[in-house]
Amino acid sequence: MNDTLKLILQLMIPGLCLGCVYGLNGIGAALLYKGSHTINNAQGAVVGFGALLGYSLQNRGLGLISSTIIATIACFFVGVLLQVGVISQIEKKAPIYVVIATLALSIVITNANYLIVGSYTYDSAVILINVSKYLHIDSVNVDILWSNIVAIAVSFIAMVSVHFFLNKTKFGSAMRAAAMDPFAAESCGISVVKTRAVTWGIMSALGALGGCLTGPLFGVSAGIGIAAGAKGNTGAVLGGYGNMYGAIIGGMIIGIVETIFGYIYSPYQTAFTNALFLIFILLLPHGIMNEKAIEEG
Amino acid sequence: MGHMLELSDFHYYYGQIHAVKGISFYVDEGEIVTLIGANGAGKSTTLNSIAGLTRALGVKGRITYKGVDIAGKSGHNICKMGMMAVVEGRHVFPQLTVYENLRMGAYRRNDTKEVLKDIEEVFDFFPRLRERREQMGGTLSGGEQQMLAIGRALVNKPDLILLDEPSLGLAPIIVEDIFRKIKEINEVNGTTILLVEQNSNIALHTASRGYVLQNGEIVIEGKCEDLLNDPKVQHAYLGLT
Ligand SMILES: Nc1ncnc2c1ncn2[C@@H]1O[C@H](COP(=O)(O)OP(=O)(O)OP(=O)(O)O)[C@@H](O)[C@H]1O
Ligand SMILES: [Mg+2]
Repeated sequence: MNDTLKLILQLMIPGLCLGCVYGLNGIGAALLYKGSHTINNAQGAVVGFGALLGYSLQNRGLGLISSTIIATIACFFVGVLLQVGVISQIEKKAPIYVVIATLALSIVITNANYLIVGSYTYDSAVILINVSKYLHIDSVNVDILWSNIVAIAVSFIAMVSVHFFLNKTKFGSAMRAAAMDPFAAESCGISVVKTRAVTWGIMSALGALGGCLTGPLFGVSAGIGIAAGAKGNTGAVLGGYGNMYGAIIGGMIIGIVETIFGYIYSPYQTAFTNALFLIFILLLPHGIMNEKAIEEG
Repeated sequence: MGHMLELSDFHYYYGQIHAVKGISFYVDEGEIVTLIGANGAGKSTTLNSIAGLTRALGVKGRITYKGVDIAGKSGHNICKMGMMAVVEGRHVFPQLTVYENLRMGAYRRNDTKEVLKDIEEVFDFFPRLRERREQMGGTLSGGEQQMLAIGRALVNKPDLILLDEPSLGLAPIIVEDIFRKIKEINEVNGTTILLVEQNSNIALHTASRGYVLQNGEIVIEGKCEDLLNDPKVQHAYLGLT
């Protein structure tokens, strides 16, 4: 009994931690899909950039908290710049071009990351002092990484903040309105250029936050975010594409399933997870939240 | 002081398609002016262009509002100048509640307390909306959506409202109701109104002046009582022979 509980705790907490990062990335994917009917393939590269930025700030002597905050805010503006400078111009033609353009953008940003840090993976312990600190739960004799707990808690706070921002503030409501009907939004005095820019800002900031929170666990390298960006998107589809809450749940599921498969047989961890995803989406194309993302005939 | 809204030699092009071919008209403060015409005459194109909701590239000519040339300006900036369009097909925000839709109508305003009062006023004006306050916009009936679209414009407190076919798809009783409200908005609030309609009869009975648009050109203009007695208008737009 105690052993089972111990195993579950040992798998669930890291799984949930990964899932939170996927969820953070999924939120952006969902918001973007809902508002612009497109996909950002550069998300993972921005996650990597944010994680590197957070790392290098710490390397320069800044504290963990302040460097994470600075990297997250900086990436908000990176997202805004990407939308205003590149995406909005391409989006005018057709949303599908954004899919292709962001693929190119992903390669450019990732290579810029390599240019800055090289192909070196920074040892985790160097980055975060508390990465090796454990919380010991006596009753079940389990050790849980403090970094995992912090990552889960901070992600949760970020998700709740986004929820309140979108539902309880005037600009957040305007973002939802513009996502539903940009034409009507403009007629109400809402600048759709601005709401889209902020969507990209939030998407990039959440990605960077996830990168900063979990980068230390895996070691920070130039391409660290690629998988997280892609899985965030997968989670968003799983949850019901375009639904932010579905994206969070979907991301968590992927994180946990992946961790369990990793425990069972790690070489096929990713293959198993994706196979499961395919089966799920064949059976339930509208995802967990039953979001009818695509007009069907 | 010139006209509140004035179009001079206004053209609109959808790529190669020349949809509006050099029309000129004006609206004075406090007036209700109507633009009538058959399907595809260019009414919506004109109205949306005034509100900055068409592609700026397609606009040629001058549109002045309150003395400023607004041709090709973006929609949200024009809205901030005190003009609000109730576009064709209602366009309420489907997954926002009735109340949230109204809040979005007041987006340009920062006097929250007054906005809340004005929303209550809209509810007094359209009691059906009050009953459906927390219902999603997309689940309202057509007539209720039209009320919401007009309500959304009212809480904006614009000086000029552009209305595109408020009668579209509504039962005659509701059409009469809506047009009574339109007149009331004009008389009580002093809001200027540009009304685009296919239902020429009710439009000409509501407005004071009218323009008849045909294939992108204005072919007849004048006081509404004169238009109602014009045999050409009677024949082509009022169904009288
Ligand atoms: N997006 C578009 N692309 C190409 N042509 C268009 C477009 N929108 C409208 N048109 C054309 O422009 C002309 C004017 O259309 P508009 O919608 O302004 O007419 P309308 O007078 O509002 O008609 P209705 O009473 O049916 O609403 C029509 O011939 C129409 O086919
Ligand atoms: Mg029309």
